[in-house]
Amino acid sequence: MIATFSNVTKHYSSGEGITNVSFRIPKGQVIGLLGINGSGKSTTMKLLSGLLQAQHGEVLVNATKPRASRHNVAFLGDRLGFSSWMNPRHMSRFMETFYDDFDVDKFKSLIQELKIPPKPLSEMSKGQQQKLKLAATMARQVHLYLLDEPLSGIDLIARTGILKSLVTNWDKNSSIVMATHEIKDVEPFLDRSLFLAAGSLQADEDTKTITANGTTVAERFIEIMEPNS
Amino acid sequence: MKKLILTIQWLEWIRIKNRIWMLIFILLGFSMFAGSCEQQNVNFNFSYSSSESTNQPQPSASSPGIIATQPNTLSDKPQENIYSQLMSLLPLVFWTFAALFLGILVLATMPFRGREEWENGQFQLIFMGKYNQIQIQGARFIAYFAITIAFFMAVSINANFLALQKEWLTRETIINFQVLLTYWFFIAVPLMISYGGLISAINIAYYRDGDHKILTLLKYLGSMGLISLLIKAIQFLTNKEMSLFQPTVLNFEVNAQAIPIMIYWELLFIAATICAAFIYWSGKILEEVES
Amino acid sequence: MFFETLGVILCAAGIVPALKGTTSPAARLGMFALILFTLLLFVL
Repeated sequence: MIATFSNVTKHYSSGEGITNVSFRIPKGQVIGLLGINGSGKSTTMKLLSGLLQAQHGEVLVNATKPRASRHNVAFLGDRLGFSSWMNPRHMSRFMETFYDDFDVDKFKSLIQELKIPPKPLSEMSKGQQQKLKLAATMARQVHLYLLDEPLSGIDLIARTGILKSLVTNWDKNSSIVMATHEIKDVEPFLDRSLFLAAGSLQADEDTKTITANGTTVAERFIEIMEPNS
Repeated sequence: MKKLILTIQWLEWIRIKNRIWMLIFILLGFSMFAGSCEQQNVNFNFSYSSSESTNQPQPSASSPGIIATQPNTLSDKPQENIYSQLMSLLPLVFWTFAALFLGILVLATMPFRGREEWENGQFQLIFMGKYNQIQIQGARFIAYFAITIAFFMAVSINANFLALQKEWLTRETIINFQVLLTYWFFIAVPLMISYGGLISAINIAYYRDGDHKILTLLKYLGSMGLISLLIKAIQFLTNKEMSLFQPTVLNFEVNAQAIPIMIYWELLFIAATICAAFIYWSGKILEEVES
Repeated sequence: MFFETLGVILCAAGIVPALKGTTSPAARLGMFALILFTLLLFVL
């Protein structure tokens, strides 16, 4: 088991957050964390990465507290993360210093594959910035990849290519958790989906079970979020 | 650790490049003053000497104190001539202290990191890395201190060279001034940088819940309170002469009157300890911060 | 007396935001130390 989330509660001072959420992340799965805005997706990701601490319940990553094993988790956040003056070469130097598991060759090949130009982040489009962040995250060799809105700002044509590239380069001993609104795009790659609404886990279902019932993940998402529709 | 220090230096120096440019402009201004003095053909025969005081506590023979003996030439000169020569030193003193003061104002702001940097997620990426925040704060301290040392050395070497070349001060007096300045530099500057790092860490810890103007005001007032407490503590220690190590006496002689200045080495150790505590504390805060 | 009262009011006003504004105990301790120094500045 890579990570466990047991009855976890975390609320911000604004009142938002998650309440009593439990799930497990085994090896070799691509998991979709699905929900509307404010449902608690980012909070769940940050709790797994150690950026936030649970108020109640227990989060374990690699059998330790997330803060202790945070350098073994690759986290693609919703923010830029790098300084805007950095270009891919600077980012490589930065990542090499702070992360032992950063594979420079893999980063270079991902940059070529995703056609990222060698210019500073400030001169790149939002989509190019996102691709570069994604390349930096996926060039690490860790057990858990947390991708918060990985396809945000990326054009429709590039999305499938990126996802294919991610899954091809992915080590099956690790797991990927993806929080996203682009359910239709990620659906073919998901092994399992966690449906969050208003800070609570509404359902935790395998893609195989969903499709066996004759629905898609996107349709199941709408069913769960709007039960009366 | 060497790799971390070099990377942090690279990141920090780019982050504070505007401040570094300001320091370079201050140094250029100071050098222009030195250059203008160079061109003036002023003949100073005034000797401002440093000599052993006879009526003040003396260090033992084995003391590391720096005491230079120089024949007193001031007493041979007419009083008004001495004052006019003292006045001629004023531009050097004024420009040196102006450069140091402006430089310190710029240097004191180095450790502060803006909210936008935190919102941009740069804190997250460094936090998730293999180094803990105490190591990172230590590396940041080294990056800032290196700039401060370079600036201080540029100003003091320039001023000393000018004073020596123009024979405004004797070699011994310059050495004594240099020892005194370096002593206070190593007490005040590490404290200033590490305290800035601590306040910046506290700011970051409170970013998530938005601005609290009252807390900002309390940080300023509390810092003033801490400075006044530190000054009182230093005065208390020096007045009580609670010294573990033999103090060094620097003797300056002005107008035939000896002015001894004591150097208490304990203050250096106390300042270094407080500085280390501030770095540790700021690192601990950043370890606990949520983002 | 005016300054002492002002100091106490300022410090009292800072206690709740200092306590609730962060989840870091070390930051809270730092903020409370600064509140104490503010009080000393006004009182001493």
